Amino acid sequence: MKKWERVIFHIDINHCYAQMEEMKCPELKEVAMAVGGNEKDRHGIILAKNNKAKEYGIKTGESLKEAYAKCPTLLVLPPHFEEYMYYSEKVKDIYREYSDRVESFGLDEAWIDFTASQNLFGDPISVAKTIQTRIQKEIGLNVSIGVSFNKVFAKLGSDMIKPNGFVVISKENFKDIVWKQPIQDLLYVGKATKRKLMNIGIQTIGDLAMFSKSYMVRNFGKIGEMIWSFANGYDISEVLFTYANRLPKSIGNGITTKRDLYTYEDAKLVFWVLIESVSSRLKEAQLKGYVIHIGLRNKNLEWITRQKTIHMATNIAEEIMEVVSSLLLQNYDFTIPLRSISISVSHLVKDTNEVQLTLFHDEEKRQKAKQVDVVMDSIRNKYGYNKIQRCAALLDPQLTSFNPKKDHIIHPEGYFK
Amino acid sequence: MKKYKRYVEVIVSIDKYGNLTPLYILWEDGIKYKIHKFEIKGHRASVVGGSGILYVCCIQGQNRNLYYERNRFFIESYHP
Repeated sequence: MKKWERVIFHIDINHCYAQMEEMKCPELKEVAMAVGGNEKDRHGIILAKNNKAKEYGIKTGESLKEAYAKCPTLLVLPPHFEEYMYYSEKVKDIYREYSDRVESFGLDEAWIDFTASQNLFGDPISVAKTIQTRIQKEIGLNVSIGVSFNKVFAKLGSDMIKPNGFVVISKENFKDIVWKQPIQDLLYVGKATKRKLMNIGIQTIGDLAMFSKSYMVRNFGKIGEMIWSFANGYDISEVLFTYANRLPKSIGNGITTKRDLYTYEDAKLVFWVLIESVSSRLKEAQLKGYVIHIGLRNKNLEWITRQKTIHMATNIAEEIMEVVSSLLLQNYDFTIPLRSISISVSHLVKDTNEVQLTLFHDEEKRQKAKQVDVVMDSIRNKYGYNKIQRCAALLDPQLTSFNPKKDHIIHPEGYFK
Repeated sequence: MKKYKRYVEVIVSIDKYGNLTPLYILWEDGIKYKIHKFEIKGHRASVVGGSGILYVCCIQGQNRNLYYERNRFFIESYHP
């Protein structure tokens, strides 16, 4: 048996949500089916679809309305997140039998570092195959596996064949397999980067790898260097330990509101509720942040994002609101109503009790505002969320009557932790 | 013969070490079927959909697959 210098699996549960529904009730395989958000609450998008639905050209992320237009008989099931989490944990329990390095990437994907486990279990390729058949036999789910010598190629391998794919990308064959793939299949190459790369004649991952590194750095900066080294297989990022303690990079929250937001005042109302939840979560984690970031999506589903850096890190709701309202005033005129909004705070640091005083801020006032937040949180924790509210929230209960901390939102994950 | 997924009521005993022993299956017509002996096969996926801890149970001389799925039992039934 040839031992690998480094071997990493990336395992992806195919059409995660849809497949889990099919697993519970196999009859669903016979019809076009999708898992989607609730249309009444306007979270109406397709979260996952099965193969029959795929034949109709239904795409993940499009609205239920578009999907019904393509396939009027489409069966849309509401999501059962709790069950999906349960089954995906069961699947990950199997991974954890083989390595202490299992890093989740969202609900349905995970990396497994098998390098050290080779001494215990032997040949990585046969073990990966065993994992695939075990998941099929024990949980009843199909997974695609990529086996490679780094995380990026492992992910690429698992994305290549669906369902039930199995792709091995080694140092010997990666030029034949990976370099032929289109450039957008590489991690971190999105629409914008793809367009720019196409403009300079880069069509495949191989083209990028052959390009000069210094040109990429000059024209694309840090990201340019990164994707260049990804393409050449130089990625050395580690698979995290299973129970690695991860500090969050940012804390945020967003919502699609029950009705469109027509004015600055409307948006401000909803922002208050979101900011309160973000500020309370920041305080729970004992963090404060320097950069405040807002995302606005209008009725035509176009995204705008804006951010602002402040001089003193904060987790005080009032201060965050000040920044948000100025960002909102400067960047949006409400000619097209807004459909959903989000806020996040990043560049986080520990919230210690020592404060650097400055000449331009009234620290006493800040501490008072913070104390108000703390009292509001403790009242809410003790007596329930609705027991204390800002007066403004009563202006339009339709917009503000949601509990932002409890309402379940699953955010997509980033590659760098 | 086509099989169907059917959730059933089960009387179980759990001993002080946490071991779970299924004793009877309660059918909808009120009949109580005694489980004479059983064998645990571990977590398995079922042909009728769903997956869980499989107890192969011997009931009136016949082997039946009983699955413990998260928080309830289902059986591979010949009747819908």
